[in-house]
Amino acid sequence: MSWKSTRALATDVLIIGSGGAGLRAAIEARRFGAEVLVVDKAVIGMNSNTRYSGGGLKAALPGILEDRYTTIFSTPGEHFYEALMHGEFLNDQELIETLALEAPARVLELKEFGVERFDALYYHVHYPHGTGLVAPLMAHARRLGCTMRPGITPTDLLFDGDRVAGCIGFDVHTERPLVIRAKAVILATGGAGEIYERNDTTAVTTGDGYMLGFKAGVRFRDMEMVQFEPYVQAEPGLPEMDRHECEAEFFGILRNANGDEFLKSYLPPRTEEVDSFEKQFGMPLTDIRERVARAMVSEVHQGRGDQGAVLFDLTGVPPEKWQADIASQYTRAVLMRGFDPETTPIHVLPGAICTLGGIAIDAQCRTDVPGLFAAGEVAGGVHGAARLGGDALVETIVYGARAGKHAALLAAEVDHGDELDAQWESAKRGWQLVLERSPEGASSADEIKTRLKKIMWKHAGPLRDEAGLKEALAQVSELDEEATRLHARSLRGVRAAFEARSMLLTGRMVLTSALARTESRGAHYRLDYPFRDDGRWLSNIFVVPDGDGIRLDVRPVRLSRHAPSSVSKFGLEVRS
Amino acid sequence: MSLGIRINEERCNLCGFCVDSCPVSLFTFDEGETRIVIGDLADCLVCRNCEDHCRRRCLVVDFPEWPHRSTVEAWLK
Repeated sequence: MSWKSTRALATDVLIIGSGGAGLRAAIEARRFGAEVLVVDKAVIGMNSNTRYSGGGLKAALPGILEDRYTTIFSTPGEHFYEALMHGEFLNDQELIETLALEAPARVLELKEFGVERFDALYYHVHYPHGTGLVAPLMAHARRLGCTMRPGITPTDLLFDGDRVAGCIGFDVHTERPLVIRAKAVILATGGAGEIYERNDTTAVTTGDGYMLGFKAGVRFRDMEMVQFEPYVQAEPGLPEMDRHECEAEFFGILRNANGDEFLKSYLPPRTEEVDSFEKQFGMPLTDIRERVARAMVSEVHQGRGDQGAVLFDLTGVPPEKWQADIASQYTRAVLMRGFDPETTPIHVLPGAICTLGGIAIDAQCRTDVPGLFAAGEVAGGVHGAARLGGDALVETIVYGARAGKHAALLAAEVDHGDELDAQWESAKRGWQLVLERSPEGASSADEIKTRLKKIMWKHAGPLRDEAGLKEALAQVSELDEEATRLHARSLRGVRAAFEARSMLLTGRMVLTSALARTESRGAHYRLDYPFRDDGRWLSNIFVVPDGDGIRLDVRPVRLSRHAPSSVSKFGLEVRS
Repeated sequence: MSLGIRINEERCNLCGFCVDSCPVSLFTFDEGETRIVIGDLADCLVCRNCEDHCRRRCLVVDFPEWPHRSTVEAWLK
């Protein structure tokens, strides 16, 4: 085939991805004087996990940020401590320290960008609640003069020596190849919830940033940690969607097929009240999602499931509670359309919500490769083994801003690379191979994606064991082989092929790390090693690109502030 | 329940913004890329992102039980 002529663009800071982190990075880079180009493979901002999130933010802002259903921190120290305890010491303590200290200012600053409500958006903003965050960020970035282009899929990064100097991709709307020269590049592509059959993330989160980083040679950390959201609907004919925090939901009771309130045997209740999860179990649901998710899947695993799921009994919800807030009304009218929760319990089963690990960064969001930054869900280290509800969005605004600032500062010092033409010619040949391959005997990207999602959900979901993970790795190798024979008719098809390969790579990283971690910690639970083992596993698993494959590098956690032994169970530091 | 998504194919220019904007991949191009195929409506979240992004204003999400965002937001204020 013949290509349309290549479009060449140049900018100071190139941001790949336009969710919360990408948009916040754009604003900050512009404030520091850089010319900014934001590209997204789909649409700008509006199809991102930030937008489809509940909109909860965690920060030490007593008296200001007071959502009655989540933990309130009176000091950044408390925020740091809770994040470390929930992350079970796998966090990079320098990263959570920065997060806890900067979160209050970054949250308040949202007002300047036109965010009207930043406390519990799910009560005040029409679904998708994260619109209340994304739309003002987009508008503000535009006001400052950031350029944003939808439909651009970068497939490779450009290098000038060992420094990243832009990217090569294509525009699905004009069907033209594109080369973008940049002095600094920020990956803000989000995670890879889509590698799981059951997920609560948007369909575009296919781990593309992991693939770009992998090709550039960055290290990844804690990839075995994938967080699952508990109450994702599993009712035939209804959307597979998380049931956002709403007034009515707090009167719901999880039951197994025998009708037992099984959660009480996993999380001993403190009171009998059911009008708030926190009152009943002592902690807000959003902070211990992985434990609730594991309890639900364990019931099904032990044969007490109903049609492969558990039942969420909302028959006791006082009728007026369905009218109490916008989230309850939306849940009832849209998510449960035509289903009567007043008489029939609804099937629910967890789904992937967040990849906690990712590209290893420092507090300036620098990766191992000069000129390449990462922020948001694509980066790892902030959350460790589990995440507090609300910390993901705070991570996007704190680290998005940091990435934008440091990328802009770097861009002020360096020049555009030269002699890049040979690199983009070779990338174009890669797409051409896919486009020119005969459809006869070729494999389909959609089929590979579907099969991978089933494999990952079956073997690397909330419950894992050695045999399952090994079998999954063998099956992923077969899919890898099939992915060498992908065919596409258009650049949209090439994009699907790139996504399938990114998902396979992410799946392999999750499986390999999960197999290596022979203990249970946070979101990672091994049926064959059900206990936390600080003696052997107070370590991070780094995934290092090694030729076409990967290798693991296990390193003891850098305990820069606290070690488990220095913290008593009452949360006070033990001083000897 | 009366959820429906309608595309006026005479007006549709196949820009693909509905495909790119859908969080649950409801839309695909058909084999020859001559029209948009709508998948299983059970997955639809009625976020109306497709409607908002349709460049030719030829896509309608029909679900009278839940009004458009602009209506609800005016009512929330």
